[in-house]
Amino acid sequence: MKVPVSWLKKYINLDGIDINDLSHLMTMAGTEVSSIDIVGEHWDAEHLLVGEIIDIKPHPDADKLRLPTIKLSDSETRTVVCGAPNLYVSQKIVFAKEGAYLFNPRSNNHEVLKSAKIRGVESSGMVCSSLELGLGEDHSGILELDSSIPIGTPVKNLLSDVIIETELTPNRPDCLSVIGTAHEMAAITKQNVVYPVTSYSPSNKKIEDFIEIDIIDSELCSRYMGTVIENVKIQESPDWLKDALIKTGHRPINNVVDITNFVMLEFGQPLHAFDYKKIPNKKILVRPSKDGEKIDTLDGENRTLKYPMLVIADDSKPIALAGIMGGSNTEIDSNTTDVFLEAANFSASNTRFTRNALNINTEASYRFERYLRPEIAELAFDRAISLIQEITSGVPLSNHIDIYQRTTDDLKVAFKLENLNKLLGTQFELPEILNIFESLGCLIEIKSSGTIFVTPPIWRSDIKIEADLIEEFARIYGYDQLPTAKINSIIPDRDDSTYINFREIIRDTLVYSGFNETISYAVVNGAKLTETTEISSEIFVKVQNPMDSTKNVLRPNLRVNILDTLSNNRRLNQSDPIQIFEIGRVFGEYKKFNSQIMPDENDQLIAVLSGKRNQENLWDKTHESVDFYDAKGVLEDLFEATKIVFQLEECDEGFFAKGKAAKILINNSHVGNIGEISQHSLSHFDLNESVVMIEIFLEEILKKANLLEHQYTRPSKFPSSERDIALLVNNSIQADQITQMISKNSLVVDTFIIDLYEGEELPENTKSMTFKIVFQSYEATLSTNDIDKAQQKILKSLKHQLNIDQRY
Amino acid sequence: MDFQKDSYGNELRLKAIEKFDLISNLEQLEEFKSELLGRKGSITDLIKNISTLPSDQKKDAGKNANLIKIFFQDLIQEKFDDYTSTDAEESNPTLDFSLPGRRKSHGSFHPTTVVVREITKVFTEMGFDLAEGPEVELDEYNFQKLNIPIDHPARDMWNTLWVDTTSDVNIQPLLLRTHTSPMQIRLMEKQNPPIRVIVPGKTYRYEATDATHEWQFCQVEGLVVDKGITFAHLKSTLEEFAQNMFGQKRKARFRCDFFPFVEPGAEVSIDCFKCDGDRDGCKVCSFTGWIEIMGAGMVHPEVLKGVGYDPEIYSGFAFGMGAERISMLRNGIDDVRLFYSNDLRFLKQFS
Ligand SMILES: [Zn+2]
Repeated sequence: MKVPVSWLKKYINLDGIDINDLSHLMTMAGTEVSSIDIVGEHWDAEHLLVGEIIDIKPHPDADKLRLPTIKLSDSETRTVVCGAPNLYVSQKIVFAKEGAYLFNPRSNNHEVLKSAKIRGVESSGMVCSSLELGLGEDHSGILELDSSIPIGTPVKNLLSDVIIETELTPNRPDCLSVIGTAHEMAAITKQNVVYPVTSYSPSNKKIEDFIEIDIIDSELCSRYMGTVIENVKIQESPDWLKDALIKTGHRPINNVVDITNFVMLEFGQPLHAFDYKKIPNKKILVRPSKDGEKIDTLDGENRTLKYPMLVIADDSKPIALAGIMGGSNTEIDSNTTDVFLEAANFSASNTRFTRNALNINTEASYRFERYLRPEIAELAFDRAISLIQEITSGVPLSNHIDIYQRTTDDLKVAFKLENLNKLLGTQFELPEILNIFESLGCLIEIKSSGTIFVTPPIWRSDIKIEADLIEEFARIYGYDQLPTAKINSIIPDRDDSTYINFREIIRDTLVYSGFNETISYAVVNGAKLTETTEISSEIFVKVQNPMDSTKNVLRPNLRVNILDTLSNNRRLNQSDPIQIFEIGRVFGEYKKFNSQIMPDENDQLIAVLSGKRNQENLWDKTHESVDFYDAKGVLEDLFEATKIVFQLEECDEGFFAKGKAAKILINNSHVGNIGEISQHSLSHFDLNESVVMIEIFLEEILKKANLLEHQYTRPSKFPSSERDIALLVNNSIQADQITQMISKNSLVVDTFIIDLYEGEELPENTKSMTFKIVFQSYEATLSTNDIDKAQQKILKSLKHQLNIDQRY
Repeated sequence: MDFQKDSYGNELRLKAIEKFDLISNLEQLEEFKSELLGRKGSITDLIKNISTLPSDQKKDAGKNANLIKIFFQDLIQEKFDDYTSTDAEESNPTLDFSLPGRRKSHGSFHPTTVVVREITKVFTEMGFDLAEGPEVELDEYNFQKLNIPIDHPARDMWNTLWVDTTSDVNIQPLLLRTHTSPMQIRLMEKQNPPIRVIVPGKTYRYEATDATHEWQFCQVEGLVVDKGITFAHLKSTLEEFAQNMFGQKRKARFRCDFFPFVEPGAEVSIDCFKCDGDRDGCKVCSFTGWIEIMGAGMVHPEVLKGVGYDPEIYSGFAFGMGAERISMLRNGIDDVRLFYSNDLRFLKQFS
């Protein structure tokens, strides 16, 4: 909220107080001052003066321009060119001499005023509007000053001000007012707040003869005050009132409406003025609306209401949205003579419900939904009546309606010194604390039993329990002044962190093998998702109000994300190879977790390699596309790092290229997939290159794998020997079938493929595979004979079980 | 190497040595190599013929033939190296040092991972445990049990992305968690005090994105509950964190702030690590000398009661910070949208 210091000074003495220092203290105490705006920062006493128009001549060459002569002192007059329509002789205005530093609406900058020829007439200086002075948006006419101000007065002394803007937390509606802000400043500077004096002369007429008011649901309206003010004269507001509204960012409308806004800003209590004569049958109901009821609101919208939005209604239709906005049917206009003034306290949650449902945010709804105290209504009500009489000459009735559902809750809060010291870790004495409570406007009762009761002031709705009082003390005392202490209790036991450790090893391994980690948005495009998975769209978990309506599915896997990332980077001409991965949450079908129905969330890993295997900028490499075995190598690295044994089994999911993908199994459980993605799938991502992928259900692995601590193997004392054997193998046989068979021999400590050859001179449907076999014993150095024997045995069983011949 | 006069293949060996000595260029060497070791070379034949020998001779013959093969392989290689290295020196005396070197493509951690790991490490060393929780949460946990009832104005502090639960009437209102704070409740419901845990994780807000706003981001939550935990402990713990994270000379500043699930509530700032909290400040601290790093406070008594802890016996403090914000401050990243745009030109800078 914008609070002009000139306005604050009506209620609190700020002489000798540095506004910057005070603002800092307020910020530290929880009412953040987000900016301090100095009005007239650039005004100087020499160039901006009060002048009086003593003559106006027409411009010889332009109908819309005139040549006013301005008297600045007994010896100095100036004639300038001016386009404003609202000039008249004897008017007091702000005159800017050449050299003044003003806002130029054309350049949108502050500039030094220079003399200029306007349509052939020399003009040195100008008559200012509020826009050029930085006082408001109004550029249509010049700013008119009170006629009593002497000419030659520097404008700086007259109009300059400081406006502080506060950024308030939702618990402090009291500070959405100038007086509330003054109270906060008073607590910090240990002062008192002086309230404005209200007085008015009513007629002797009775409200009962004017209107009948009925509250249908008192839960939704705890207080309703109303009266009629007769014979008001609707006019433009006086300058001081307009100035106050403009400085706080409001547009003046007419005197009655401006007064209701002014008092709202002053006390924080929203008010509403109805044209009394437009209320038929003189009956008002405060009731929840019916479904489908309609109202034209003051902003020109026709709104359809639903139960239980609270409305103010006549005997047939709504005339205002309670606590939010008035209706056009009872609007104050220039012909209004009698005003029905309302000061009420409406339910915070109902106000919030209505403004959310109708998407209508007003100054009134903003305040009501933050819980106002009903006590404020009467202060604001009196003040408004008093100002309406003063400004519009209206006459209030002798009495008013006040339907007040006083809360039965005791607002007193019991307070114990020891609890404060226990929570803050301090040793304060009582007087220091009570002083601060009193400075905040609290009432303190000390019972003979020693119990202390603290009653919060009527403008505070947020102090309800002892902890609130402790915060009040702490924030005014200053958090920074409070002591610090190291926690000295023992460190609690830690939970099992096996899974997180495992996942982080996986992440490390991928990065160290050259992958770049990505993190994507958790929602994806449903259509793209359907193209990349066989998961039924019926079990997709969807976001109701997504940021982008085309992306509303909470991802059940990471495929769309990683391929989008790949595709985007290709578009950015990222060079080969792209190796990226993501570890993130995926969202499966709804499940019951201890009676809570929630999506089944799990971590997954996805990694892709794409394009050419080698870096494009390398000058001496052949460029080969990545294939299945690049992915397989990564998978082997991952599982070696975590000591997990896995198997692969063909996977026929259409997302992958046929015959080039496998399910990853651990102890026969499906824990992921590996393979080349089909060109068809890639086409949905505008990708035209080879892409291989690894997908791992991370949490599943931990459930299925026997994560034994790695068992150390004692190296043999005796040397090992190697043999290479070339085999002629049928194409249907996979390499690990052969390595498994070879490894069965007790003298074999390791074996791996060293050459794969597929050539035309080989028999049809066969390939040549060469394996290196490492023989070693723990008992002795193996003789050539021992090795020959073992090799013969291996060859025999290969022939016997897989029909594999040695190739010479 | 020791060869016997009458050993298998010795004749061939001697003849070949004579021939080898006559070689004078690379071409002749290649020819020699194929005569000896090629598919139909004499040593290849020698090895093949072993199978025709009586079996008692096979073993020795095999050994000899193999030795001969190795002997000539070495000899040829040696000479080959001589010829080729001389050639290289003559035609191209120095390498082109300006050609780029062969490098392995380097991997990188996402900047959010980097900062979360760092924060985690600091707190782990201070005795905190690590926990994680669901990203789709019940309204009850994200708000209600955190002292934020339905239609409470404080809900405006967290613009919410709601999960569509229209398919099943039995599902309670679900949302994408707007903060990691619901894990405070889940942790306290699961166990009795003492608790000292941090919870990193993704969070979501219904928020238009710009350079400083992102609708998905990562938070790190912290919770300490025990007998006798005080605001003084909160201050000390968070200052110690700030110093371990941003440098030992950092000062922490605490101001009053509001979060419905703590009372008293605080906002924690540190003096700027760039300008050392200079009066005039710098760009990093928006010219204030101070940088906000997190929200904190003493766990609200209503929250404690809600999970069945007696606020007369137990007290605690909680805190939460945005991971990306800290990463941005430290690495001078000026647009939060870079984090999830996954542009490799950005990501590769964090290797
Ligand atoms: Zn700085």
